[in-house]
Parts: sequence; structure tokens; C-alpha cells
Amino acid sequence: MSSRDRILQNLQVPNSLKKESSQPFQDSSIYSDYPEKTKEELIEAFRAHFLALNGEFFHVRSKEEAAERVAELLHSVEGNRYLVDSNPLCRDIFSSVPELEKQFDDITKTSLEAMEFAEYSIGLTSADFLVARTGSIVLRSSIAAGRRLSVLPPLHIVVATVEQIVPSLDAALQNSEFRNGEWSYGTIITGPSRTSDIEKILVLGAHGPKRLALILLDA
Amino acid sequence: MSTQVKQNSKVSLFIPCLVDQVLPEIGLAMADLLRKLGYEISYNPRQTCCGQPAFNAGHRTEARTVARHFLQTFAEADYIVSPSGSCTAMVRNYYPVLFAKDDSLMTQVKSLQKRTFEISEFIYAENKVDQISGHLDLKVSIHNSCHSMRELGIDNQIEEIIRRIDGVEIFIPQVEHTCCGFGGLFSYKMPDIASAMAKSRFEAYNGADLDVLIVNDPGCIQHFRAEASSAGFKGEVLHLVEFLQKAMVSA
Amino acid sequence: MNNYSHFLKEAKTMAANETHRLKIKKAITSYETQVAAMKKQQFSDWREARDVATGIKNEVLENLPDLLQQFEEKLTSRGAKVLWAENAEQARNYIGEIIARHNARKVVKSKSMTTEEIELNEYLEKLGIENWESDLGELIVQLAGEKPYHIVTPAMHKSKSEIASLFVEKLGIEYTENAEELTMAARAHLRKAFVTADIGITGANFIIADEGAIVMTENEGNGRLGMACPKVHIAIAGIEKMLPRLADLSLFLPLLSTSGTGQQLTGYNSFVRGPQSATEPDGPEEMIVILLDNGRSGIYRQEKFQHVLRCIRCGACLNACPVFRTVGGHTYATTYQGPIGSIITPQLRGMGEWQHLAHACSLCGACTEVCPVGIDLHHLLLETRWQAEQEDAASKKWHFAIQMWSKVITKRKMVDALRPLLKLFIPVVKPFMSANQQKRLPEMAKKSFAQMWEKNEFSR
Ligand code: SF4
Repeated sequence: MSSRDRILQNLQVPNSLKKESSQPFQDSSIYSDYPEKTKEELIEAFRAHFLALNGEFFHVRSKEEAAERVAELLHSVEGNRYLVDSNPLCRDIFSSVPELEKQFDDITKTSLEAMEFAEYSIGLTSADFLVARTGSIVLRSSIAAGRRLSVLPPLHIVVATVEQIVPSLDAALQNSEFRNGEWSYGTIITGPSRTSDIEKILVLGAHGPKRLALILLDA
Repeated sequence: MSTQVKQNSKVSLFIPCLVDQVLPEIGLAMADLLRKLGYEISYNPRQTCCGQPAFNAGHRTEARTVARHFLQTFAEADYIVSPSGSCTAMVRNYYPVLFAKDDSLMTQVKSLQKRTFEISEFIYAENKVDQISGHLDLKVSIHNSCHSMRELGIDNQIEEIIRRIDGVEIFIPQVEHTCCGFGGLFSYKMPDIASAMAKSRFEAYNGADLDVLIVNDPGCIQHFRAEASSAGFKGEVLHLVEFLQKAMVSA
Repeated sequence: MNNYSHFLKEAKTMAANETHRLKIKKAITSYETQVAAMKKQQFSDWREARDVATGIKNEVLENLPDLLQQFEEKLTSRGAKVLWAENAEQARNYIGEIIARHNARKVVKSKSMTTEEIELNEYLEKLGIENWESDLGELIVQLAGEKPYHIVTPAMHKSKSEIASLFVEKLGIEYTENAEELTMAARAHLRKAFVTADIGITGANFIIADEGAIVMTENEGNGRLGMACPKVHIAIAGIEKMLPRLADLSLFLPLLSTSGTGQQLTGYNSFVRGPQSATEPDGPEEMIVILLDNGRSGIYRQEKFQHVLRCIRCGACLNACPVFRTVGGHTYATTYQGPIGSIITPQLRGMGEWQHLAHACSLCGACTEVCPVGIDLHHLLLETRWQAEQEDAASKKWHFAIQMWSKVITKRKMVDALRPLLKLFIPVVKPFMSANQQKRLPEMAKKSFAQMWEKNEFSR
């Protein structure tokens, strides 16, 4: 008998635990801070949480304005190598400012060894969802061009549209389109990398990005 | 406790072993209080202990022996009132565990559960809070025992009873409730941990300059008193009923 | 020295250690404030959330074999491998084989109590593998040559100055007590490890049946890096880490972070459902999940203890426990400390050697009150004491004393007759006791309550 079968066999015992009905719960019934539904309220809830988590938040009205914010962020870091995934939203933003696009290396067109990857100071990605209740960004490897782009560079810039805001996490996790498709990795990002391992003092930028910036575009 | 006790029924004193042997004055004070509240009280001297010391230490066979004796002793009693939250919890919450497999005794246990009260919840269930009055110019604080709080769900009852006494200033610690460190045989098996826990607990009253720490469990009282001087606690440690006895006399 | 004497000796030292007590008090006070605020901020009723979570975990336990197979099927369909380990040794050997197959020299680990449980660090050291703990707290205890102090906060017991001296010695930095500078030193120290390691080893906070995914919760990003850079990713998870549905995370992630650290959500919650896919530019070429039993199915088979497998390792019961706060995490000498550890260690590692932990508890119930999955912790400690006695693993000395006591205490006449004897007896034994025990010896009243009542010594 294999170990697998032995373990499974050991688990075959009558079960006496109180049977609770396993109705799928809804976030709206459990969380008192479940945000209201209007778009403005969702944006506001997201913004408040994201800022409280030390995120850098930019609400922009146009692609041009978005491009301006990206350009400003480039100036705010040391180093001059920036990486981007090639997603429609980023391309859209770059389309108005081709000089900006040139400053970025497209990850899908560059094969990077780990050591070289570590020299980039900005990773620019889009997102799957923004979660209003917690100020989180949900991101899959299929749209963030893999796993490293959003975690190795010290500044992670995310571009997203207001349409991508959902009230709470369940909306994202139950979305079948999100769950389908070929991807191996997803992450819920809630603020920049942090630690409180030393005397409970909060320090940003433990191993992941020290800074997390969100450029939120009115669609 | 939602169970209502019928007015002025007979109350049988449930005197825990620690009170019987070491702290009888707590038993006397409780009898005194119940009498002042208009009860006819009785005491069956055959009672000795509810079996909790054995049960808590994992010796269930012996606990069952002692508990069976307790069941016999109180078979006839109307209402059973104890000055200890943990002994009350033993009867109410743990007897069913002890006798789970014994149907005939379970019936007795179930009837006992409904008749057994800790003193502060009894005063509450009986709507007697208003009848408590007195005067003492003292600064006090409260330690609600863990079993009284978590097993019986006694919450603000003690405080509200004490508020009936004029002149008393109640200090509410700003830190979360923690255990005093008694824990029955625990404090004898692991005395160093138990002492340090008492010290931490006393810290909650630091700087308050209390006259009295009011407690509702004889075990905690015994432990607090043993630890007070090394923890630098200057006040007195009294049971709720002892405190009320003082206050109601001086009124 | 057996485990019990060792525990008592350490406990005594720690109980007298005022510096330790104040450090832990400070850390836990700040934890408690944050947790209380977060419970209030987001839950309509925290206890209701707890009950829902409890129900879902019960559902897991009810269907565990099916869910495990569902998980395996889903995950392997995407090219990952699932290995089943009955015990620690088997789990270590699996890892050893993977290392050999890849000719790996360098491993980067993220925080995982399961790897502590199987003593992976010691094993890797024996194999001569470079092993980098990447979580800051874990790195600190690794550099100090210690075990984690707490399942969630491994370096809770270290002050800034201790960490500073440690980093000066081991990482060669300038002395600084600035937490940010210390963190940056660790970041710099580990950067290269991430990009050059052959294998990343992580734990898993949850494994998801319907998605075939493992979930990793962390704040620092070290876990993400460990799952992104190396060519091989090994995740090791206890079989009880199961959740039926991905959507259950929208309850369990906030519940875990609220109880664990007082955060609404932990910084990164990552789910991995396979190795790099054909359309992705990076990620591990190979992903292996080791499902660890190591005594869990034994707990599962015990009616009274089964529900302890609901545990999500949030650490709340440790923080709430006054014994933990007094003796500290290392005194337990176990992988899992505090109330949860005192329940599962005797089950996982032997009643005889570990039952004393169940007695390191005053039964205050603070742990049960805070547990986010409704585990009846202090009552299970009571059950453990009883089980130890049934298995003849409990202290004979105490049992004998209680047997004698039960014979006397059920007879009023004997109780009263023995009173004078006891009064004589106490002064005789007193000199043989420690000062601490002496002061706790009860002073017998002149007369028992029963005697006073009989003599009608107060008005009725
Ligand atoms: S037993 Fe409960 S409180 Fe303790 S670690 Fe597990 S889930 Fe958290």
C-alpha cells in the first residue's frame, strides 16, 4: 500500500462533529465595513485603505494624465531600468507618450536572468481587481507577466481602471473568468512589503517592493 | 442566568472545601448576606467538596466518586448557592462531562444544574440587587474569576452589586483581564509560574492604591493573599460577601 | 533530564526573568490593541465570523479524504506533483531526493512551522546544503542559533539591541538599533540568495480543494520571491490546512490576519496552482507539494480531539495565554508552543514524554475565548490530563495522593477527625518545600465551617 493510500485510509472514520450547514457565506453578511455600491463610494473606500497602508494613490482622468504620473514616478527612484508587461492598458497609456514607452523594457521581449532582473528599479503592471474593502490589488501571473515583475523591483506601479474595483474579496475569488485560463500564480497585494518582526515596529520594504503606487484611471 | 428563583425559597449553602477548611469566614459572610436578603438558609454538613480538584487534575475516577457524594448531599435542596464561580461551574458545566455515560445520574445532574448558583448570579436571578445597600469609604477593584467569567458568563454583575454601596470608588484596570495564577493543583505543581502570574495580575492595579481587591472565588483569594506581599500589593483581598458584610454593617 | 524536569527548570528561570516578562508584555499589549481595534473595525460580530469559519472547517474534516484527492487531482493536472508523507522522515527524504535530482546546493526558505516540525533545517545542514531562512524573524532566530519562539512571531523575544548585536556579529553591519536599518541589512543580505537559490521551500497557510492551489500568507515578500525565482518550488503542508473553496479565503484570510497580527489582511496572500505555465515568462519549472500527516490522522481518529485540526495557526491562543507569557516560547521545547502546542504535542509526539504540558495551564480559558475557529482549547487540555491518566502516562505520585484524598473527602467524620493531624503535619513537611510552595500552604482555620455551624457559632 502506498503512503497516499495509507494516509487516506487512516482518515476513514465516522465523524461526530456538529454538522453545520455549509451555505456559501457572503462578505456582505459578515463584514460591517462592507462598502456601499456606488462607484464613488467604492473608489473612496479603496483610496482610504490604500493610503492607510502607505500606498501611493493617483486618481487620473485621462491616459495623458496617467502617463504624466508614470513619468513623475520614474524620477522618484534611483536607477534607470524599468520593466513593463505588455498589457492593453499600459500600451494605451504609452500610446500618447512614445518617449515614455522607450524608457521601459518589455518583459515579454526580454529574457532576463535573475541577477539582471534584480537591477530593475520599477515594475509596471496592470491588475485584475482592486478590492475596496481592504485596499488590495489582485493580480494573476497571466496578466502581470509572471511572478517576478511585481515583486523584485523596489517600486511596483499598478495601472488600473475604476471598473476594476470590486466591493470585497469574494467578488474577485468567485469570478469564474478570473479563475479560468492558464495561470499558475496569483496574489492579493495589500500595501507595500512590510515587517514588524523587530519589536513590532513597522518597517516598509522588507523583501518585496518598498513602494507601491496605483494609478487609477477613469475609464 | 435567566432562571428565576421563586421568591424566598429555602437556600442550601454550598460550601466549597477550601472555605470549609481554610476560609470559613467566607461561608459565614455568605450565610449572613443571604439571611439579610430574607432567605431561610440551611446547611448540610455531609457536604465536603464537589470534586473539582480531582477533575481539574485529570483524575476523573476519583472526581466521580466525590461528585456522586455531592449529588447525594444536595438531592433534596431547593436552591444551592456557592461563594465560588469555579465550584459552581464544576457542577453546572463539568458534571455533565463526568456522568455523560450514566443516564440515571444525568437526570440528577440536570436537575442540579438548574438549582445551583454562584452568589452574585443568584442575587441577580433573584432581583435582589436593589436590596443591597451600605456605606464604605474605600477604593476597590474587582477580580472576576476566570471560571465565573468564562464558564458561567458572569460579567458586570459583581460591579453592579458593589455600586450599591455608597462611598465606594471602583477602579477599573485598563488592561485585559488575566488569570491570577491559581488554577487549583496547578499552583502547587508549577508554583513559580503561578507566582509570576499573580505578580502580572497585581500589576493591573499598580498605582491605583487600592484598599480592597474584591474577588468572587476562594481559590483566587487564597492565591492572591499568598502572593500579595511579594508582589507589593498593600490592600486587602476580600471575597465579595465579606466586603458586603463589612459594608452592610457599617451602613 | 526528562522533558518535565526540563520544563520546570526553564519555567522557573523564565518566571524570574523580569526583562523577558517586560519585553513580552510590551509586544503582546501592542498586539492586543491592534487586534481589538481590527475586530471592531471590520466584523459586524466577530463571534459570528468565528462560527461560520468553524462550520467550514467542520465541513473540511467531514470530507477530508475526498478534498485531499480533489486537491491532488486539480493540482497535478497543471503539472505539479503531490507527494504524501506519513511522517517527518519520509517528508525529509522526499526533499533530499529532489535536492539530489537537481544537484541543488542552495535553498531559500520562507517561514514555515511545518518545516520546523520535520526538522528540515537540521537535515539540510547534514546534507551540507546552504539554507537561507528568508523571513526576518526566522533569519534572526537562525542567526542566533535558536528555534522560533512563537509560531507567528518567531523573534518576539528579541529586543532591538539584541538583534543589533547579532547583526553586527553575523552580518558585519555597523551597530544600529534602528529597526528600519536592521531590516534593510537583512534585505541586502538575502537579495542575492533569492536570485541564486536552486530551490525555494515554503509552507502553506491553506490548501484549496476546488482550485487545486496552495495559499501562502506573508508580509515581507520573501515567500513570493522564493516562489518566483528558483527553478524548483517545494511547498509542505499539513493535511489539515484544507479549505473546500477558493472563495472561503474571503473569510479565512481576514480572520487569520486579524487574529494573527491585527491586520485587516496580511500584505501578500499568494495562491499557487502549478509550476510556470507555457504562456508565462517565469516561475519554477517544477512544483512539488508535500502533504504531511505525521500524526494528524491519529488526532483525526479521536473523537474528542478531532476538532483541534481546525487550527489555522494564527497564534492568538499563545498571546492570550498567561503561562506562555510567563515561561516564553522556548520553555515548551516544542514546534508549536502555548495552548495549541500543549494539546497537539502529546498527541503527535507521545503522551508519556509530553503530557506535562497539559498541566502547564491554570484552565483560565483565555485561549478558547480568542480562537478564531472555536477550538475548545482549555477543555481539551483537561481531556489530555484525563487521557494521560488512562494511558498510565500521568504522574503516579499525584494520582496516589488524589486517591487517598477522595477516600477521606467523601466522609465528613473523617475530614473533621483528620483536621488536627493535618495541622500538625503541615509544619513537618514545610521545611522540605521551596519558599514558593511554602507560602502557598493553606493555613487551616481553627474550626471548619461545618464545626462552626454545628456549634451554632453565628446567628441563623
Ligand atoms: S488553536 Fe485557535 S487560537 Fe490557537 S493557533 Fe490555532 S486557530 Fe489560532
